[in-house]
Amino acid sequence: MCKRNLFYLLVFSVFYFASCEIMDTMPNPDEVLISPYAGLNEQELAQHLEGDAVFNKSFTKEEGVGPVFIATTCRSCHFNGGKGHPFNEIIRFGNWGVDGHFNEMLAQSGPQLQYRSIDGYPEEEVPEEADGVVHLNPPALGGLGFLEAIADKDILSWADPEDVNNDGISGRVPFVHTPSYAYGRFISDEQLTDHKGEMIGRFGKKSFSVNLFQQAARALNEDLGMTTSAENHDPFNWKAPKEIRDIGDGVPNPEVSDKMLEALTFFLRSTAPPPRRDTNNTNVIEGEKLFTAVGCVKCHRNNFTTAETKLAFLSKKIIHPYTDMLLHDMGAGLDDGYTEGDAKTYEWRTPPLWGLGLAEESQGGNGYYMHDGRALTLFDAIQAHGGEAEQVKEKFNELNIENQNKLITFLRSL
Amino acid sequence: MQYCHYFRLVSFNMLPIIVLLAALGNCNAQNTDASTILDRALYKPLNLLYIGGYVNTSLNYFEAEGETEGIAPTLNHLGVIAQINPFKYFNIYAEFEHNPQYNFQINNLFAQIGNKNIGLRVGYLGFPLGRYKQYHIKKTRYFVEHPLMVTTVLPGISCDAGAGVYANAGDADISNISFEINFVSGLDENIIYTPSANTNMEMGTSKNLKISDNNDKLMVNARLGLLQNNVFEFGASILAGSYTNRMKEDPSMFTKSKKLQIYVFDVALYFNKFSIESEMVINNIELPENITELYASSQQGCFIDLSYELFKKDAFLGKRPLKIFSALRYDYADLNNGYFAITKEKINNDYHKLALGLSAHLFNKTSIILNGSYQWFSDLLGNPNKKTAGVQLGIGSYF
Repeated sequence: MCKRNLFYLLVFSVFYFASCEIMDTMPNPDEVLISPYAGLNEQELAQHLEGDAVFNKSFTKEEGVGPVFIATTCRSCHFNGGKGHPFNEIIRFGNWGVDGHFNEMLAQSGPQLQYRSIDGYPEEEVPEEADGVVHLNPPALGGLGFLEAIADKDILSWADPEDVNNDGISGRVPFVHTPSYAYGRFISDEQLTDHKGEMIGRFGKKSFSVNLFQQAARALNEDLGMTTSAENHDPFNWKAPKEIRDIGDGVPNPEVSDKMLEALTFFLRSTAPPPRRDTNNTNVIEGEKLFTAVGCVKCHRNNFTTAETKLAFLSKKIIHPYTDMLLHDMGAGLDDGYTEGDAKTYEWRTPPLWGLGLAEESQGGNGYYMHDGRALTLFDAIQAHGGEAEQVKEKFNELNIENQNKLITFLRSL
Repeated sequence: MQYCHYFRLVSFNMLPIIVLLAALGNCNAQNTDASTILDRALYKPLNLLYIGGYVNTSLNYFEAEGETEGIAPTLNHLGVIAQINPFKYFNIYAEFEHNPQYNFQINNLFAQIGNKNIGLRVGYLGFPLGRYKQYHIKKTRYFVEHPLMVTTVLPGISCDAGAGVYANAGDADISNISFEINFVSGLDENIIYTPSANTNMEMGTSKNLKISDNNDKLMVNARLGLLQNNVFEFGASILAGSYTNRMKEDPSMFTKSKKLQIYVFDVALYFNKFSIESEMVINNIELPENITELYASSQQGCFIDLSYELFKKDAFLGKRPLKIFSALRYDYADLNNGYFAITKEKINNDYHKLALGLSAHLFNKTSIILNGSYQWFSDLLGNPNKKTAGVQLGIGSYF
């Protein structure tokens, strides 16, 4: 073989081995937004993977997507498994009647806007009469199972609707209507508080769903237009001509089997939150103390133990979600005039903060924090707090820049 | 802003070619291998029945984020070709392909009246969009995989129902002008109902053996090709029309015709032992307003293949020739060329790929190919690139 040929062989070899050098290595576990809990047994891991497949499945029109919908797969909105980006926000709307009651405008295809539609079926638009419209970014998925496993008694014990302890924080337990299909789908007997026929809402930014089974069924229905035995009616566009509306997507209901719905629910329950990072960093340690000192921890509660559940990997675990699962008045700045469940328009459930530090890295550099992604940075997010959190925000603003940065460094470690 | 981007893309893609054009004057033409089974079968029908096919299979090893599935064999393409020539100026051509993505698809299935200079075709016509796609059954292969822009930005190696005419002037092996225009049913609305967060041209082609009724009017698909002295080849292709289906809509409410244009430019240069093949594609898709939040209304891509003949033996294992080539490919596909409506940030979704290849061409019909490739992908939001590297050992042959 001549020298020239050897040269080309050499170039080829260098190229290949160089490419090995510049390859990504397997990400550290603390850099991964979603992964199964480490304690899953073989059978549970198989169930998790089955649910993962449903989560990533792209449903087709032939399988029942639509007739109006937002996405054809769960993964497209829960991008990278983390919290959502404004480009795939959902819009919910309603109307305030003269009697002061909020109307979800069900007859006018409310309360969620499905802005896409299958062939020959008109997509929806927000009705002109809607005067309560909210834009919501999808939530992060990690740790939802732990939130479901929090005992009712703990949530009830943290509530202080009248602010009896006079600390300026008056968290309220969200009691919401529980659809019949959601009964029997709780993972713990410690979650059966019945308040005048209503139960504690845990999921959704206004705490509308009582458990992950309900949340999964609703998301399939309202986001993908896929019916289940739980949510057995396709969303529709009230403006579509009756003959088109009657046909709908043309696929018999339910479009998603119970097995798939169960698998998706298990996937959500068995997806772990990202582990904390940099916990030995001095700034992180001091930032956590400041987090407590200025009062963030009054709502973003840190340590508690989960209830005894039917799933061993969720039972009696000490968790650090930084939420109290209560509704709080967040002030006029975060009042979009929309409500659902038991929440007022200015009330929001305290979101968990785990995974917060990975948000920017998984969303192209901007965090898009708060319910609609209005805050690009963590500093902006703190400044967006109002209402009950106003006093805490003021304390944060009184910190010098160095300490503010320490507190934000702590948030980045979550 | 968008035109600057196009300009950069064109400059990047074409600059090396423009420089090399200056040196064209004294170059000797090589055998371009431009003739394909398709050419031969259609333009030189010697027998009543011609049956052939092609196969492209490989052993693949890829690694991404420290993970690998090990060595995996794949049957990338397996095609069967048949041509019936019952009369002198009438023939029927069929090409069916099995591939991992769609299992089974029709690439071409049409009847043709005419000779090598002019004729009429009716049936399922493969879109002539770029040189690579039109001549996808190649005698000589340097790479196991099709370029990214062919598989992601163009509607793949697919076809649609329609009719068209073709015309050729000159010698197909030396200097020639060719023109083909087809009126086809075209791509349908499935190009925007995709599992991925981008439009997808291939989703809009019918996969079943039926006449698709997917548009309110026909799409136009045409390609003009020039070959000069068997050294320089240029082609310009277009697929344009409406992809929406007004027929299913209530005219009083939803008369919304949405336009689609795909432009492809291809350039190839052939020297003694060195050749360059390059293509660039730009898609413009008029989107419903509610989709602009999700997808960009444009896609683009390009690839450039450089190949060099390292070794040649005219009589290898008897009288059959053996050639060994080295090749380099750069591949680029931007599946979302635009900005998020809500945040005004650039939508990324960009693929880049470098591949090196060594290939031995045996008996004028078979290629044994060794490829190393390195691909980096930026997701929608522009997060750090995901990288994939791999080696493929493949064999491609037609028969």
